[in-house]
Amino acid sequence: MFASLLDGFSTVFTFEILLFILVGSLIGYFVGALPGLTPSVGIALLVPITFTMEPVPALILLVSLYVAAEYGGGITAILLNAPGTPAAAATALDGYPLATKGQAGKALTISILASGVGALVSAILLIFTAVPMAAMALQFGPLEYFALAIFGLSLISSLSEGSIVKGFIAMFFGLLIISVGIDPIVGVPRFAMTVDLLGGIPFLPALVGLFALSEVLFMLEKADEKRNKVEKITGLGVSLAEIKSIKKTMFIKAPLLGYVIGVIPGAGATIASLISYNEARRSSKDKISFGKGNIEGIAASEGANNAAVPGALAPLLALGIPGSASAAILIGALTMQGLQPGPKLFTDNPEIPYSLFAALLIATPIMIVIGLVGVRAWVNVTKIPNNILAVIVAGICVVGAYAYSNSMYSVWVMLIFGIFGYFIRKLKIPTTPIVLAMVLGFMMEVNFRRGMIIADGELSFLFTRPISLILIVLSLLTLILPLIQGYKDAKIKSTKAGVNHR
Amino acid sequence: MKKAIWLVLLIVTVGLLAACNSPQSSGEAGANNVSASKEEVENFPEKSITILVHTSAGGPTDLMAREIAKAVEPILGQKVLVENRPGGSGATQMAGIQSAKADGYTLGAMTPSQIGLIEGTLKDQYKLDDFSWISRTQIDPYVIVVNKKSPFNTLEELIEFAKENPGELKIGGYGAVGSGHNVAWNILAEKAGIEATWAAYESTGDAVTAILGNHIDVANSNPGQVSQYVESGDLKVLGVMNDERLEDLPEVPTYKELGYDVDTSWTQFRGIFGPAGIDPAIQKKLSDAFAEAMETEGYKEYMKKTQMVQGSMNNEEYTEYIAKQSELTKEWYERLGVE
Repeated sequence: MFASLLDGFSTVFTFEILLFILVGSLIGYFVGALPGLTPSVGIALLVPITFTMEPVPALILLVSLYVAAEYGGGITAILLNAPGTPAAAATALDGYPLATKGQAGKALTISILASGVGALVSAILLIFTAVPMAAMALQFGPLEYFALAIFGLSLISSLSEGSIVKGFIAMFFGLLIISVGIDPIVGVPRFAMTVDLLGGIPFLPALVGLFALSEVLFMLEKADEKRNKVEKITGLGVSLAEIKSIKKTMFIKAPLLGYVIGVIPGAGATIASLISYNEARRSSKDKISFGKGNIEGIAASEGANNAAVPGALAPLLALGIPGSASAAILIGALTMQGLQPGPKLFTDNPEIPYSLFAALLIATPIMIVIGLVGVRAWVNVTKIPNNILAVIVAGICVVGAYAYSNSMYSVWVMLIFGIFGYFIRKLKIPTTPIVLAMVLGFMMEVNFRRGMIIADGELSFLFTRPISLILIVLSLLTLILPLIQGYKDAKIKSTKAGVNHR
Repeated sequence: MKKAIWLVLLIVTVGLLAACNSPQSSGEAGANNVSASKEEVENFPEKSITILVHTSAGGPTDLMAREIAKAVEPILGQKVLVENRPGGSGATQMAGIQSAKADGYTLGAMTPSQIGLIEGTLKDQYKLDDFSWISRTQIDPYVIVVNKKSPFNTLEELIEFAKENPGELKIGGYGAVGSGHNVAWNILAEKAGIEATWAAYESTGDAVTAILGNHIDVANSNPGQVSQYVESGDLKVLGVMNDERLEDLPEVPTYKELGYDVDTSWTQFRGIFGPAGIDPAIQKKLSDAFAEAMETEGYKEYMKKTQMVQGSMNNEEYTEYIAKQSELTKEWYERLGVE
């Protein structure tokens, strides 16, 4: 294995390949940062170019793009509250508040460092555990996916900033949106008044509208206001003590959660970042500061979504099963090269997985350096006056939405969700639960119904398998514990108030 | 520094806009039925041709479109571009094709999905006559696979079990009831006189993952999607829905050999279509060019690597074939109660 890995390194350490890593990372940054262009769209756009290349450089170019794009999404999430990728939605929760305080530099530095550490730790885990972890991915049947979706949805109790009722309103709205389109099991159209709606409401344009365009409308409200002063970045931009204070999240929890969740086909970076964010908040002594600019929240989200990338490669390399939409396109790209990722890849074409491993280990430091340099440029975005920035962001939203499907339909979806997002944010209804429900709703529905078909309609099937049972218990705890905590806090407050009164 | 960023952003934006410029926006939308002059027919093609694909990049249909585009380019002497138009299970692409100028420069890649839409969910929007059927480019036969741990080693054993336990067998495959895979299974089930429960998956790949994890009893799939797992011993192929045995799976019998005389014209096929009203002479020119492209070394090699079966048809044969497929689809939709 180590010999193969060394072979991998020698393949990668050529000028040509290093150049591909650099180019891939740079393209990835832009793809990730542009709302509307997800890593999978970016890879899909680049795939045709790789057809004429050799398999190894082609794969490395695409994977460097994939890794960097998952990071790039965080840049706009922090600076503009416009997550460039769905997986950066959790980054915006703390990143944007920190940026509005004038500390965009710190937020960006934490995000790039956490992304880098996440990707690196996860890549090392991948090298040693790709095969057994891929076997675990196969354990996930309809039941397990259903339980995972329920667990993901239970996170709203901690993601809905303030009122849990408003969180539920948002979640149910998201689930309602998901039900539009062709029914996945019996094939009848649901709420599809137009032909376009048959394919459902596209997630990405909706996300861009909810977050970015609604933010544009908020910017316009205070178009004349001067923006906050931007703190100058000194040194690394973040102190060692700050990194130390979040070391557990940054070096262990986020990478581990990201990797494991990334392995599960269909779960992916978005769910990983939300679960990781929730875990950081749950275990923190300073819960109240989350959502107001806590660097641990940024590190948790960014670390996990980048760690999910090597995770998604495990079932791809070991079994030929895509762990994510991007990985599915990578399989297509490999097939075009005449290679079949699958059980025989490690024996027939060991140069592919091992040079990929080496590339991941080398690409990550390159990504960090580009990122740290980039931070110094990106922070200037926060200096742009609101009235100008709003126009630019609105333009990016429209272009991004159009690029998503090459049609005006997704632009309309984006605009409608933008206006809608503005009003619900005015009502202090959080938007994150909508995103969560849109990511998980389909997975929950289709797997529940599939599970019911396979179990002949017996509901008891929910409790028959260990993984799903654990996940369901975890979701109940996640849902109920914050409620009890809130009740207790309220009680203490009222007794204290009572004492004072006396 | 600031200027530089905006310059880069501007370039990216402009680049994107350029990339988004779709062919349909350059032609007058809806201006169908272009009768070409003799000169135009003779000189066709004078500019690049675009093939719209209804799936994302990387899937088998996208792959087919890119391979046939590559092979046909030198024959036509013009660039053949492939553009992905996913959405609405094919509805987005069909709208793009139908509204394109019928000059032969905008074509689409297709599978039975488009026929399913015309006969099913989009029957109010589209008729068969709204399109020209140019060429069938390949066949991807259906196969029945089980996990290595499955008690069934032959199709007979499987069918015997299903006969004794109606509805007990869980079969997974791409698409809801009425999908190509589902109908293929029903054709076999009808001939064998059995009943099983269908579990729909979002793609053939997902169904294969489910059978690898042993979450379903049987999967309806295609050879290219399972052959590597057959080689590695993780899956067993019990039967193939084709007239002859497959080159890559020589030990697997056809349904017919086993005594189930099924209609093998129901198969997963792929082809090229366009808007209605393309000048017949241009249709023929395109059809001939695609037929020639399918004979090139490059295309043949791709077919072999991905375990597809030759199924070349010219525009006349294909139009007839599509009409028959459409009838079969309608019939099965009625029987399965698909709206």
